Amino acid sequence: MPVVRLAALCYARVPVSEPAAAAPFGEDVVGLQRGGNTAGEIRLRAGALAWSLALTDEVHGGIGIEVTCEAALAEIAAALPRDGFICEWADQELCEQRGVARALLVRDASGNALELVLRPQISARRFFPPHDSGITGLQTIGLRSTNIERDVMLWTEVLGAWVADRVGDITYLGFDDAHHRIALYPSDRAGFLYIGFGVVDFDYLMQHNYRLEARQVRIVHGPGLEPASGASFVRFAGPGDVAWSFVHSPAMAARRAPRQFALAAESLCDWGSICNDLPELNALTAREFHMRHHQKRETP
Amino acid sequence: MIELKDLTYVRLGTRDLGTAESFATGVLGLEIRERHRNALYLRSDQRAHSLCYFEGPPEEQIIGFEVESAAALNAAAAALENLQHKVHRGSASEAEQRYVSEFISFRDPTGNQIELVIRPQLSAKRHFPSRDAGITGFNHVGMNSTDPVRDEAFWTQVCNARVSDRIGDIPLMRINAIHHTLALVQSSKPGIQHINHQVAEIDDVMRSYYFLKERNVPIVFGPGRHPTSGARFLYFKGPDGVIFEYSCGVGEIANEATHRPRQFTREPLSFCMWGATPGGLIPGV
Repeated sequence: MPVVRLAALCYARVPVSEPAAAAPFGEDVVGLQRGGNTAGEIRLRAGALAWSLALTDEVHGGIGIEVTCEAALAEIAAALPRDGFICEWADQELCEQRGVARALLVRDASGNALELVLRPQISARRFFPPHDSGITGLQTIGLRSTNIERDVMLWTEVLGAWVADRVGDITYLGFDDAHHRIALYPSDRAGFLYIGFGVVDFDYLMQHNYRLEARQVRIVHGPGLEPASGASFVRFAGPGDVAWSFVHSPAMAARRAPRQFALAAESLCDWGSICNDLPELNALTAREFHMRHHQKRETP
Repeated sequence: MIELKDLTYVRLGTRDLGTAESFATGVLGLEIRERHRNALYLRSDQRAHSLCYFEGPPEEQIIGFEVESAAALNAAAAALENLQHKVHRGSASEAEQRYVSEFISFRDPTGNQIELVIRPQLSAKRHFPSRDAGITGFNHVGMNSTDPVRDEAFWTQVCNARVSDRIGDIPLMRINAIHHTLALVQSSKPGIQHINHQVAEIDDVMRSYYFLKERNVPIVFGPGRHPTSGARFLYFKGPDGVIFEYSCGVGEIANEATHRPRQFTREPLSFCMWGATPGGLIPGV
């Protein structure tokens, strides 16, 4: 079994056309706390970390993940080129900008940018959201994948994550005490599918649901329950090419061998909510992506 | 004092038994106990029946409560007559129709039709619902009241109900450890305000939410959570405009001797702490 080299999900960097205009959504609607100011981006806190979300005017986004230690990061840096993945070390300026000691910039096989970091900064001042949002941190990220096999290979064999469960070819990946932190969805392009903020309990999740409704925010999926993880969620439209979401995850049961769920509506939401806005999250439309992947696999 | 032991059944008049049956089995998820020419008997738990639709005016809605014994039933009849309530003693055939050994009927001060019964029958046959709605049993009713303060006095002083909590002047009253078995909601006329069935867990509430939405069953209130009882709920409309509720996780009063009713503000959040609005279910809220 590969060594787990990942420690924690740190941040999401979401490209938006005007960060300043998107900030009120993150603060007033979602209930994140404004972090420090950095040129070209708005930083928002979701927990103890100095920042968990950057709304950036850069074209490409990315996700930040803390690696367990210096040695693990060196091993990853050595393994990536061997396996045909592109990576480069971030220079000092970029590390300072991110608030990390080191960062290895990686592209997965689909083109998603992963920033593998050491010593991400924590703020000594406790998280205090603008309203009673009950947010506990950046909980999960859904990524689109155009090459699910290579991407899963990167996450599992190089980074040491494990496959928690699958729905069709949708792959939930875990590396800490959560059922999963990353979920890869077969798609025809790369990029974020959703970012999910954890909340204290299901009451908070439903309070957010009605709060979003009252603010006429478009709910794209849920309130629902992901059968594989047992997490309840509500996913909604917000700034950037990404669905935002609140998630409440139950304490994880003992790790078990990955289960295979059928690619069917009830595998994506036990309660019966249907996602019509995002083809990757709708069993009917997702089928096409899965078929394409299978064809690709059969015709090398 | 009239000692109510348990809620036994509701009886609903309807002009369309066919619609009532398809709703009760295809939507609500009850089990048919018996079909008579003029009535449909439905089960939701171990009770032989807990809901009866009968051919009759939809305004005719009856709530049945169990009392302990024939002596208690006679004492109740005497007490009610003493308070100038007209009491009808059920005939043997009427009792048989209700799966009870004896009953009396009367009207509460608002005019709600109430029946007090003894020895309501259970069925030894395991309850097996018509659809997997997760129903664990018939649990409580909301009643219309033209004067909640007066009616609260009736239910708590003539009968043994105790107020668990109040929202504005709406009393949520218990007759056993369950947070509430009856509630009184302001209305201009008598009638049943809602009929509750408990479901096993929140997943059942949420699954039914999407199940009902898909079938265009009007959702009246929820999914939501009552801050009073802690129950997660969903209210929806059945035939003849009758409101049904699924809920789970209703609290119990831990200490009967020391419990003091809490007073909640009369505002939407006191009915749903998640922020769902009570869509006309509570007048003026």
